[in-house]
Amino acid sequence: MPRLKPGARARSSSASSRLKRPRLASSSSVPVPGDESAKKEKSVEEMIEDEDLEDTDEDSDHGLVDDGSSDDSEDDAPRNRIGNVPLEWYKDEDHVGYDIAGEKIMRTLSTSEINALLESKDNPDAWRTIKDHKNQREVVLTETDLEVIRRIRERMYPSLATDTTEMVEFENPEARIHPEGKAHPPKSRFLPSKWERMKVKRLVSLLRQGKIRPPPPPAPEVWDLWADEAQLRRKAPTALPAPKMALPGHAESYNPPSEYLFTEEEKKEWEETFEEDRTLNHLPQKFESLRHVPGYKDFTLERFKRCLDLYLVPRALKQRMNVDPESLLPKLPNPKDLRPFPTHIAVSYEGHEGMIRSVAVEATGRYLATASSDETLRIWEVATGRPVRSIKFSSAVTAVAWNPQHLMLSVSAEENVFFLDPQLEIQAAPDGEAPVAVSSLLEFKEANVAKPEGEEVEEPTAAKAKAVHWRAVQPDSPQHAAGCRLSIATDGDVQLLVWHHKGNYCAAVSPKARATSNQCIIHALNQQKSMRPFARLRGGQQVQSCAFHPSKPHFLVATMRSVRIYDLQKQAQVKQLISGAKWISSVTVHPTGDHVVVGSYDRRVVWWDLDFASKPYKTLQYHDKAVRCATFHPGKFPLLAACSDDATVSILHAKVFSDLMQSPMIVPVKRLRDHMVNQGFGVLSCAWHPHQPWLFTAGADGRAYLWA
Amino acid sequence: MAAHSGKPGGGEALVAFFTKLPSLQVPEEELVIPSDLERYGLSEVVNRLLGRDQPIPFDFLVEGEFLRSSIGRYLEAHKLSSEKVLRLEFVLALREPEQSAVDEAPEWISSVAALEAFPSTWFAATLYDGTVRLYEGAQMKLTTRLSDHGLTGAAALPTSRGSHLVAACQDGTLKACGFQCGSGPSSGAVSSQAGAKKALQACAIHEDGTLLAAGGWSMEVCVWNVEPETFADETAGKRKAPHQAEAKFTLAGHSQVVTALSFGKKEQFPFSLLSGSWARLSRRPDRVSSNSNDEIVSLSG
Repeated sequence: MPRLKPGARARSSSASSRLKRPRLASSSSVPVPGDESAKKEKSVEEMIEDEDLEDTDEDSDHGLVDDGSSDDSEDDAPRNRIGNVPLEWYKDEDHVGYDIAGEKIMRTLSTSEINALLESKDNPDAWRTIKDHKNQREVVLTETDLEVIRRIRERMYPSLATDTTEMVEFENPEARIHPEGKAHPPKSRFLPSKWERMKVKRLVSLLRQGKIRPPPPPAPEVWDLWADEAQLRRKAPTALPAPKMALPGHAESYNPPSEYLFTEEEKKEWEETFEEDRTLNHLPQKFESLRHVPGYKDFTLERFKRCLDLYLVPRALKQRMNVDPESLLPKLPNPKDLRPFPTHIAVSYEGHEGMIRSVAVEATGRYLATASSDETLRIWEVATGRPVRSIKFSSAVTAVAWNPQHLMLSVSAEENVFFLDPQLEIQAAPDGEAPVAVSSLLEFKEANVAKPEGEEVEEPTAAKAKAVHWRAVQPDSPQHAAGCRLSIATDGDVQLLVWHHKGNYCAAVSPKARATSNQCIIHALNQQKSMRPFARLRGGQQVQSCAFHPSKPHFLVATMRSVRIYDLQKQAQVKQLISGAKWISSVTVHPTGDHVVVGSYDRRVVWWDLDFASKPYKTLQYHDKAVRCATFHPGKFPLLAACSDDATVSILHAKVFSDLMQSPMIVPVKRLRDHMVNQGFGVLSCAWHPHQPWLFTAGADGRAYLWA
Repeated sequence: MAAHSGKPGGGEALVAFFTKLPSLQVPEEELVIPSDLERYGLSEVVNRLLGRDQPIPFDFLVEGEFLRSSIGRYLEAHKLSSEKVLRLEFVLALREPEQSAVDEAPEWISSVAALEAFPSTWFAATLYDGTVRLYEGAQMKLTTRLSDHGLTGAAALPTSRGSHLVAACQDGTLKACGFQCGSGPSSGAVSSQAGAKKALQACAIHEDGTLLAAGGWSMEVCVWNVEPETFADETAGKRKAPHQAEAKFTLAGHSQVVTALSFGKKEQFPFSLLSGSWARLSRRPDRVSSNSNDEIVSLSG
């Protein structure tokens, strides 16, 4: 039902309300003002002028049923002031709301059908009477109203005075719900945008390339101050209460049994111990009765200390690792399972008077040679300890080595190297090839003498290396009688002699040689020539020791800090092994040829695996003093011996596995302790028996032992 | 140590003594004695039983073996009950040997062999200078030079008149010589058996006197037949050259020096030769060499 306000008073801007008293006489589209046209126009014009169409004081009685309950002034506003409250809420009530004064609006309009029928018959205006239930009045439509209704139904402007400018809300964008043109909206408006897709695709490809980054997340408007706090808060340390005070016992009693009283010694002991360590804070005392008991003078102090304990002393739980210390130790096999290894002295070789510098065992394991600073070289029978030969030289004998193939020795005695035939072979053998070979080996070859004569003309200075001359030992000298046949004059004391396993080459190391190239010289026995392959050692350090590789044509030279491996055929350095040791004393190669062990004067034994890089595989420190010599067993036993200046020899079980997955297992199994320290030197040299797990040691105390 | 019969309590044992010595018989009664007694305490008990002024030291045997611990420990070790009688045989205790005489030889002595069956008063000692010295008791009676090179091992076989001696020499030959032990000991001619390439270390003579064996640094064992000329007397005729014989056969198989040889008793090992080296001990029957290897790592066989 269109909301029609009574035409007289108009508050709202609806078109019909502007019309005041429109006539319904004419049926033309435009209400033709009749007699009252002037009046009407006036009123219309007045209305047009009035912008705020307030109520004009005119005839107010327009279509209103005068029931006397309403005032004119109240016609503008609805009578019932309940607002948007639905009328259903009042369906059980006798009133339908309240008016502006607060008075109930009683139900007066009848709702029965019968009354409506009677009304329609009786009342001539019933067809244009509207029952307004909310305001409880009947509104009779005037002619003007009817005219307006008719016009609106015919889709015409309600009247001429209609203000068409406000009919369409041009300024209200929310009211623009209808299309403004006749054309259909384009389909693309309802489909996803093509251009946007192209833009998005471009952006995505740029994102994927990384040329642009996705936009950072927007900064939050609101920052939660306490968002992180929950994470930072750590669990509070468990409250550790103060230890409970001990309850007073019998000693605290004023009349304790006599055994609780201290005796004189106990009293003295109590006075001497520290206060913190005392079990009782006071001396127990005995009184006859309670009234004799004096005041306890330490009461306040004790209470104070207790208070400190309670609130001032920091207490913390000691975090103890519950790790069984046994489980941290590496699981090494028991030495009993790793036998055989030498454990005790089996034979001792007695006879030397000075320090024994070097010990060497013959290839068959029958004879032992010892070189000593009492200027003798002695040869012993290994099994019995019987001295077989004793050869005197003119100076301390420093190094000795047996030829691996022939029964002969190379000996160094201060500045000479001798090749010696000890005549140990049986001459009565029927097929005496062997003894003939040794003496023929040691025959001096005159042919070589001619060449050096030409060189000697140059007269090199002492700094430059002199040519190495091989000489025959004079037949009338005592050394010749002992068996020396060839001698070589060297530059500096030779500390070490090592033979190549084929028995032709002997390397001599003299660290104190003045010329660098003389520090390591290789002598060839068959050709009776000497080679100095290391004329200029890189690093410029002294050569301390050397070793031949057991299978390859490699030669190891140990300087003070590193070991260099050279290929003698290619005349090039193959590898350099760097150790942490400051002063290397000896070098030894494992029989398989893959591992090198070095003993050093800073108490260390360093093991390299040649398959790895130049860093050591293991560094072992089992001695308190310098390690003089370290040797591998040359046969099938996995043993390593290291002898040191603390007069002990450590025996290590060094099992090397042929598969590359397992690294060598090194287990110390024994320490041999029978040598004695002499002038700061302990055991100077050690050597393994070629095919038994026996060790020969040479000590500075003049003793050589066979350990088995 | 009350000699009363009764039940032994804890820490006591029931023993009975007996002996084969005719002069020192003891009644074979069962005695209860404390079980912690050892040889000395038991010896005191027996002396008390014998009632002697001068106590004699006794040694005790249980089941033929010397008792070397206390009775209680013996019972525990053999899980015997202390209520069962333990029969102890007592014998005269051996004293520590005293050195009666010392003979200084000019060179190291390599081995000593007894020339007669045990107990023997004649001994031969081989030296590293190739000589053999004969001793009767404590006195040196004879020196014979067998070789110019050292002798390392010796073995002797007693015969009717004296003994046959073989000595392993460092020049690879086995020297054989017959000795007559008597008031005037004398030696026969020296014969040498060749065949080894390197120095010999040990030798042996078969019980029958038919075979000689020697082994050494060539890691082989050589076996020779004994011929009449091997142990010939000096008087049998002077020979210009000493007798040389070749080996009957050579047994190889050792990887290290052979240091011990023995033919073994005829009843137990009729066709065997036991050889020991620094690596193995193997037993080879005659002709067929089948080795039973026991690994013994020892210094000198």
